[in-house]
Amino acid sequence: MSNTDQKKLLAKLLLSYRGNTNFWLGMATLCFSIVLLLFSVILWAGFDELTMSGSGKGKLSDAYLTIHKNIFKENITEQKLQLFSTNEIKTIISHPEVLDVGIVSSAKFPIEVSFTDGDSMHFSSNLFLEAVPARFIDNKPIDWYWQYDSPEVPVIVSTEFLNLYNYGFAPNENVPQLTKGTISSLLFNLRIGTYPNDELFIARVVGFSDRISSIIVPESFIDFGNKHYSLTGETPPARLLLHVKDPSSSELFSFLRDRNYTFTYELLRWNKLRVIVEELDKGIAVLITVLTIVVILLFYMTLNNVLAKTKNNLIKLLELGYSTKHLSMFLLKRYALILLMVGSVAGVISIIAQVRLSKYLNALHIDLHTFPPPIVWYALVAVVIALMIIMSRMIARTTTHKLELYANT
Amino acid sequence: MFQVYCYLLLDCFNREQKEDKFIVFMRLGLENLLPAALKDKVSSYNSWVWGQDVVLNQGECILIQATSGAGKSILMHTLYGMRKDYEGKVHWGAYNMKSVTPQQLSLLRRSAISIVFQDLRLFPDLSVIENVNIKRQLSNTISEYDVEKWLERLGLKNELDTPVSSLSFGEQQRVAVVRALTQPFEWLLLDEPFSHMDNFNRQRTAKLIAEVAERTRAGILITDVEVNNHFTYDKKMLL
Repeated sequence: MSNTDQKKLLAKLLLSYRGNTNFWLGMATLCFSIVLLLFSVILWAGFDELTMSGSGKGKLSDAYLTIHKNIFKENITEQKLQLFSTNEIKTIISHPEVLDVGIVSSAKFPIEVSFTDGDSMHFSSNLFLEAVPARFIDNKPIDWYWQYDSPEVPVIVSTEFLNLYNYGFAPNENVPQLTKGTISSLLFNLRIGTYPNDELFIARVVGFSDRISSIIVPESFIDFGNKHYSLTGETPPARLLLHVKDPSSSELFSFLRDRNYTFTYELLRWNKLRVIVEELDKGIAVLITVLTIVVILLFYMTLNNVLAKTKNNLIKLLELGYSTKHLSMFLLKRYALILLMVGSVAGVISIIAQVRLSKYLNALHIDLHTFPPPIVWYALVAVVIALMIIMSRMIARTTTHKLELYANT
Repeated sequence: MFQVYCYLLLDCFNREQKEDKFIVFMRLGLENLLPAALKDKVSSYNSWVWGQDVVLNQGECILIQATSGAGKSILMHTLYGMRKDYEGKVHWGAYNMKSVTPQQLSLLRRSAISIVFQDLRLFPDLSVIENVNIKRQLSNTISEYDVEKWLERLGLKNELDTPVSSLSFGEQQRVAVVRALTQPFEWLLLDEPFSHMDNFNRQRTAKLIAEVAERTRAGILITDVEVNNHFTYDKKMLL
């Protein structure tokens, strides 16, 4: 008889899970519980990622604030502009909650925009333009740059402005509403300076910003206009864009309020959402703990049940001269294989779930890894290792306990 | 008692151990052995074994005769290391059975002491050949050919693949005997091994046991309810 035959005989005697429906139902439930556990870890990691600092699309933590100084009656009467000095900007940069500061540069030269589409449509208006550092622009187009010989000046318009036009101005003035696509296809004449010292450019709307409430062009265009057509000379900025760690920080709020700076309160809405997500995150962490306990108990009960059924054969084999080590290793290898199979199936199901979840969230403009992040794999490995340890202890205890129990009768 | 110690000390010098197999000139020493379950009962009669200092030499064939309930199976289980609820000491060579480790016990059971239990302890779901092979495979010192020859001698040739649960108790006893012979042993413990056999089967089974034991110069310790002449006994003891 070969060694394989011996293993077959031992399998006949000790692996009572064969044909044991209860055992396989138990393993299926264990697999399902591990999948639920991994789902929870995926959700937890996803929510955690959303609330962590970063600049990705859909982040709920760090945010951008546009700040300016409050305007008082005295300022108006004294014709004193509320601008940020260099020292004030330095103080803002040094605040621990502030990650970055972008200066909103205003055009100091006359701008007139006009549009002509044959005889059917004509539009002309004075306009203001601003520029911000490119790193502060959300949905930044690839061709966001301008130099003097560029054929067009790229323009980004605030989505709010488009909404104001479509839902406020257009119905009132009986003019057609415009889609983002329609606007992007139009070319505008952009005249800067004052006749005869003026210059004509072609402009095109290349994007829309949810972050910046203004009409912005590349900084190089504003610098060019201010250099050649400015009427006032260089002045400090009136508005600043702040990239902050946590817009709900009371410390930051006090800092801005004490200096009479105002900012958009729209962010508070995001903060509420963030609080909800954080609470959900904590709830899922509790769920993970509960599921871990369920997985361990379920495994313990299922294994305990099958080991109890092998008790008599185990005693007989020990009486024949089989060592506890030999029998333990035999059982350990078989059950470890089943456990690895259960873990693998749970892992594959989790990958499928993650892929689907990421597709769903991406449609909602929320970034999520396509495949489960490392923490999910760590969780799976940790669960499998924990179950292996429990299993090895249970098997060792069963074999040695049976020997000692019988020996003491 | 002094005599028991002297013999056992001698065994220590004779013992050679190599990896998990060892050759030992193994005496069985009993020192005031008194099982807890029979403590009150034993003191009322004069046993040759219980409460005595006994030394049995390897190669001897000993009959332990006792009436039903006198503790024959308790003695066998105690000698085989399955019980520790007793006073006194049991020594197999240098091994004290009360302090033997599980590893040492399994080593003794697969290479020095073999047993046929009174209740046989076969695996009912396994076939005859599987029941024998699961023991034989532990040491692999007896060929499958020899095993089949032995089973044939005991009239079990046509039952090799039959589940033992389908056999009569007498047939199962023969299977248990063959199983016990498929390992190296210094001592063979037989707990009423022929109780359900007819005279013909008793004789051919005893002959096979004697042949194998003689070839390996092993000792035989057999229990029975009455005096018999299945073997040529060196000692007959009343339990």
